[in-house]
Amino acid sequence: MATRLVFIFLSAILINNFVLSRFLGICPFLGVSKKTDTAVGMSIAVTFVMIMASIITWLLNIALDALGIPFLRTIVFILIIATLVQFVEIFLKKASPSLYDALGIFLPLITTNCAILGLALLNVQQNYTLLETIVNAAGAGLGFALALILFSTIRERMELSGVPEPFKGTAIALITAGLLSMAFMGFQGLVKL
Amino acid sequence: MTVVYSVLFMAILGIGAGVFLAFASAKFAVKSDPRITLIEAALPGVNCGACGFPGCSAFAKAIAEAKAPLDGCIPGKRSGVPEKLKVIMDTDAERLTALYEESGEDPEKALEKLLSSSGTEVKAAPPKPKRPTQEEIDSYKGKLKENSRAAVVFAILPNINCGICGSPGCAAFAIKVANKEENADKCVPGKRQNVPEKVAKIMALSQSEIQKIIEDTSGEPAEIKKKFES
Amino acid sequence: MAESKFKVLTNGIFKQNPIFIQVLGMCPTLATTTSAENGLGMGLATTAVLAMSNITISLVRNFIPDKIRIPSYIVIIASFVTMIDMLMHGFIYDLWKTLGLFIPLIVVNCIILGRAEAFASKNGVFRSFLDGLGMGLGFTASLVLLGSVREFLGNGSIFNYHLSDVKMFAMILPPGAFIALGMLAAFFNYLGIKRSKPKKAAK
Repeated sequence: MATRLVFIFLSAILINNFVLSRFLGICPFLGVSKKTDTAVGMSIAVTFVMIMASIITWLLNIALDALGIPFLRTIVFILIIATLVQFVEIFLKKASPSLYDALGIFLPLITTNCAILGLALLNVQQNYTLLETIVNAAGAGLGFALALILFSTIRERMELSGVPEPFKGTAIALITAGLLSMAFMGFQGLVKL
Repeated sequence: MTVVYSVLFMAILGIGAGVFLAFASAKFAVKSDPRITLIEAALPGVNCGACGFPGCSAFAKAIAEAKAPLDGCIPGKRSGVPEKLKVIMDTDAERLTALYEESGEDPEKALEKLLSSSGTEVKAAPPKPKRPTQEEIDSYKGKLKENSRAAVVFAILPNINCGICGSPGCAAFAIKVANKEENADKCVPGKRQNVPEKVAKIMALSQSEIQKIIEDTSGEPAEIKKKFES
Repeated sequence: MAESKFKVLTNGIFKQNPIFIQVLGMCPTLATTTSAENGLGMGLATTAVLAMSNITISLVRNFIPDKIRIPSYIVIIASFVTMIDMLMHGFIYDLWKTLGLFIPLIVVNCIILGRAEAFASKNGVFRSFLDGLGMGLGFTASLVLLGSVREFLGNGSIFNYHLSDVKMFAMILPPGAFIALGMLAAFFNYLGIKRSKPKKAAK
């Protein structure tokens, strides 16, 4: 049992990294990764929302299945995520105004982060138990954080290198992400689930 | 039955989420200081940059934090803005919040109330200067090609197109100045950048000297500006 | 604001192309372009949702209170996505299976929410429909382009029509997606730079 949990955790962070393998959460990945401190703040917020959202959606999913209305899953899940993000925004504004200011526009943008909805749907698709769901969510958040922070450190350096004109901005970021993704492919087969 | 369940489930979920958020926003409410809002309402709102800050909002914030002089707003001097700002800064936060709420969170109303109750004589604010439209800016920029002296004047202007001088944009103003129809003093943001002195220099040049400047710099405004930087 | 209706439509294809200019909707772009056909399927599904949600939001824009407009838009969009999901499940099962998780993820495609907020909430029904259609077509065209590039380099075919024997498998895998899109983005940037250079010289 414990090994299965470790496998799920490792898989979410390294082998099937949410950003670099599953292509979830690309928009904030490209958008927030220009500076490392915003990257760290964003990662914390996303991980928190991921874990909370996974738990609540998992519980609601039981109700959906029991009432025979599984088709409402997408709508219900996204509503929960939107509500949760709104709550995090309200709470942060009071509890830590500096972090709230630092995250700025990116906080409401977590709602449209495909990683969170994707995670919630994956948990359901793979029929995880509640504990497995939580572990998966934690792993996903950490994987997202890893990819984002690694990428931001590279990007901060790239600001100072001589990038050819057509490649400046998104283009070189994407190519770098591709190389990073290639590096992560080295983890394939590390753990057999 | 599925329809009933769907409707019921969504209704409960929607109401639940709404109630939860309403409760959270009430419990975690942050009382924002209306001081900055009131200061902003007192400013002309032209975002000309004469105060040295990037826009009126930034200046308002700086005033509230006592990081800017009360008379920093040059276009506002004529309409008594420094006096208004003094009144706002001298009032304590509680009174400001109370006034703000009384006026239904309308900054203009709250400001009026505050000023009339403090007995300060308030000059009516002059009508806000009109910012030129993009078409006007572009059309006058095109006309600069016909008037090389105006082009040189344009190069040393702040190029913010704030409209305080009364002309539709910096290019239009440059043409008028070159034709001696306007006084360079009218450029309020330019005062910081020594525009009147630079214009005096330009007007003293002969036409052939003007031509030389244009040739040397290929008409690039940034290069022309460098020539007048002492 | 009196943009001709035709301009509203073509805006989304060239001037404000969602992928290459606005850099929105990256997740499905990278994930579903393993072949031209998949890209086309995903693009058309997104276009359908875009068009329908734009119409609906435009219809009800005057009845939604300002404070809850974003959650309302999300619910409307999610409903249409669920419909498209079920239709694809029933009628084009193979494509549905390939696109998998990314069909429900159309909900969080920033393009749809973005257009709802920027256009449909402020314009009439027919123009919102045109805007949604235009953005969707621009999105689809970009997806098909990227999908074709990846399929051609990775499998030697386009739309399953065998063309060459070059098979760089890496192009179909995640790294290939990033790199192919990056190269395409650089290429379009280069075109944009070239276009503005002659204008600068004339000045």
